[in-house]
Amino acid sequence: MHAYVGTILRINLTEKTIKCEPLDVETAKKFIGGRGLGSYLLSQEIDPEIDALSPENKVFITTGPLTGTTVPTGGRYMVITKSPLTGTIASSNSGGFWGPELKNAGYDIVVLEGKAEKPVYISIKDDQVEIKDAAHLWGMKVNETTDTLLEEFGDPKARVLCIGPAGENLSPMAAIMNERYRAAGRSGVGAVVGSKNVKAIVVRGSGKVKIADEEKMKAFVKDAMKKIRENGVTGQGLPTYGTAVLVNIINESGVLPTRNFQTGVFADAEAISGETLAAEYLVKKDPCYRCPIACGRYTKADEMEGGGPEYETIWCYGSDCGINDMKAIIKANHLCNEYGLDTITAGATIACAMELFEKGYIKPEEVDGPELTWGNAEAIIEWTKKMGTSEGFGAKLAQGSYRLAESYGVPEYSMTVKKQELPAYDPRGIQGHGVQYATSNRGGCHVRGYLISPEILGLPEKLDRFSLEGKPLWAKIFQDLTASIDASGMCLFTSFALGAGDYADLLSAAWGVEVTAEDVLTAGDRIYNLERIFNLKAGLTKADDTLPKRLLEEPMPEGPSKGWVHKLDELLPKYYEVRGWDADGVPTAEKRKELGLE
Amino acid sequence: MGDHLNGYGTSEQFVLNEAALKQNITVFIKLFATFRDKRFMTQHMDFPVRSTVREVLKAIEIPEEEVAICMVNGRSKEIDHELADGDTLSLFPPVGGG
Repeated sequence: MHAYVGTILRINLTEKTIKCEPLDVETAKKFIGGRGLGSYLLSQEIDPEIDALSPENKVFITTGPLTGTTVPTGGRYMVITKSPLTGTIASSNSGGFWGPELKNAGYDIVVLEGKAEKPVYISIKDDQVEIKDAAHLWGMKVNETTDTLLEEFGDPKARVLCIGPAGENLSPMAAIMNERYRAAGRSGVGAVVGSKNVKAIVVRGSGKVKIADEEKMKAFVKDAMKKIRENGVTGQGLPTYGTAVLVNIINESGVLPTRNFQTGVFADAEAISGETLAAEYLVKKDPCYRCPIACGRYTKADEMEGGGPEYETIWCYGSDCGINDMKAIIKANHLCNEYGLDTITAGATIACAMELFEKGYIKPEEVDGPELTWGNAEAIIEWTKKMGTSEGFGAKLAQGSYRLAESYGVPEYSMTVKKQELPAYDPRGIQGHGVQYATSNRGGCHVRGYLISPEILGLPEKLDRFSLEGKPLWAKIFQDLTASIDASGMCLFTSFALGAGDYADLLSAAWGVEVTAEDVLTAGDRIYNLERIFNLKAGLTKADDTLPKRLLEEPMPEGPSKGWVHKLDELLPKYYEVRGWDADGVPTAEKRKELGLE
Repeated sequence: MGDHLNGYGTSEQFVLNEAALKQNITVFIKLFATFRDKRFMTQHMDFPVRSTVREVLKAIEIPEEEVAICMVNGRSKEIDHELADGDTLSLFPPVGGG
């Protein structure tokens, strides 16, 4: 067996059974692994219409063929399930070291199915797998859970994946955390694990992933490392400043979402920038498995220290809430990690609540905590805690901005696509990125096709960010390549330096068969269509491929993107066309046949 | 300015002519990330009229090849872009993230 270890570990929590099943390698290769194979298995095994928090839902925690190999950044795993936030397929990605450890223990995939009667955790030590009582862990935050489990497991080198109180409370913004600060953050995957009464999975493995052609791999890895080191973004920008370096550039472009996307310019951007973070709060870098980029940050603010914050946390807790206090953002980030909350949805929900408060929908008397006013640093900290524990008004916030705004009859104030909060780029000034948002299979998301790269950063080539020309095809190609990278087990950030041909080379060496750049993109297209078909069966339609009304109708009020709205109605039909979908956004029979998805 | 210009062309032309009459243009320069090391964060600087971004880079000693993103008033521009009085020039080394 090469690149894959060949075993699926299936844990039925209702029946309390643990089974090892052989991995079908031919099917695995068709979908590469990770996000692709997990989406295939989920589609095969569950009815897309089920309630995401019911025992009928399943959780596939998957690695890719390159996870745990010598490939740079080959440490990723993915969580695929039906999302309680969006009702779509969810596939959340995380780094750290948990994925390689699972493969070293002898498993490509862990499946959680059914529902445990009482809280449990899963202990994996090579072929010794146990379902253990977790009554003593229930209610614990992430650091305490991790410390307790490491102690109980008796091996400090074990890796802990767990949920926090937010996942236990079934909040649709709950994340799955691993090694304390790494998160499979989006789409409420932590709530699905919580709904099964599973608190954690601890893993320790003594094996090693074998690949087909060691010599070839050595040469390709050397080449990939060189490209990553020599590329300005992966060799300089990300290592020096982490992802937060984007705050200034996105603000200079006039697309930094500010006060719940009311504008794209934040006057105090400098105070919450990557430059400020590096100068005043950075303790050390915190890299993932075999990563030469090391974008991860470890920071300290007063008594709180830990991993992050990422750019995505800084904008939503910062400019989007009108906050210019970096210390408060670091603390809110730390609390999200502790309670197991998706920082994007958490911060953006507070921003939405602040606008609902400003507009008079949320009344002061119903708020049992700090006033939800723009720039109130105490508010972002306290409301994060209350969302984490689902306490008082925090329980309402913990449902995410869509359900919050809808409860006041004004869902248009929720800056979401398919009920998932948009990330850090206002698409009014980045037209291609907007069509990508609208068509992302997991709702509002930037890591399904990062068109910021060509439209703002000029990589791999510079595109006019306001132009519509060619953008649907760019969106498709980026979405397809991203799906394949997510399926491989590598980090998406390598794509600043590597192209489809490089991923093909690495897979060739791992599998021992010839893989071309075209194969990589076709596999991505297959995965994207598979996810789309799942969503259509779950009841989503063309009407869900949209953006918040504000971004389509209210021109950007100021700054370098002033006067622009997003022109989705012009872009979407062309996007469907380049995808091979009909006018309703349904993959045609020909397209399905071409991709082997009949 | 405005009404009194009637008969003399648009106000835009007037600004252009005024700039031509001036010896210098003033550009607001914003540096980011490592470009700030041993330089400055923001500064107003004067340059001869018709100066391009290239002249600014020379003056502040940033090698052209180190510039990944060059924006004038928030819009992406090339190094040979001619600057106007009052422009804001933002310069970035290679940066990215997500």
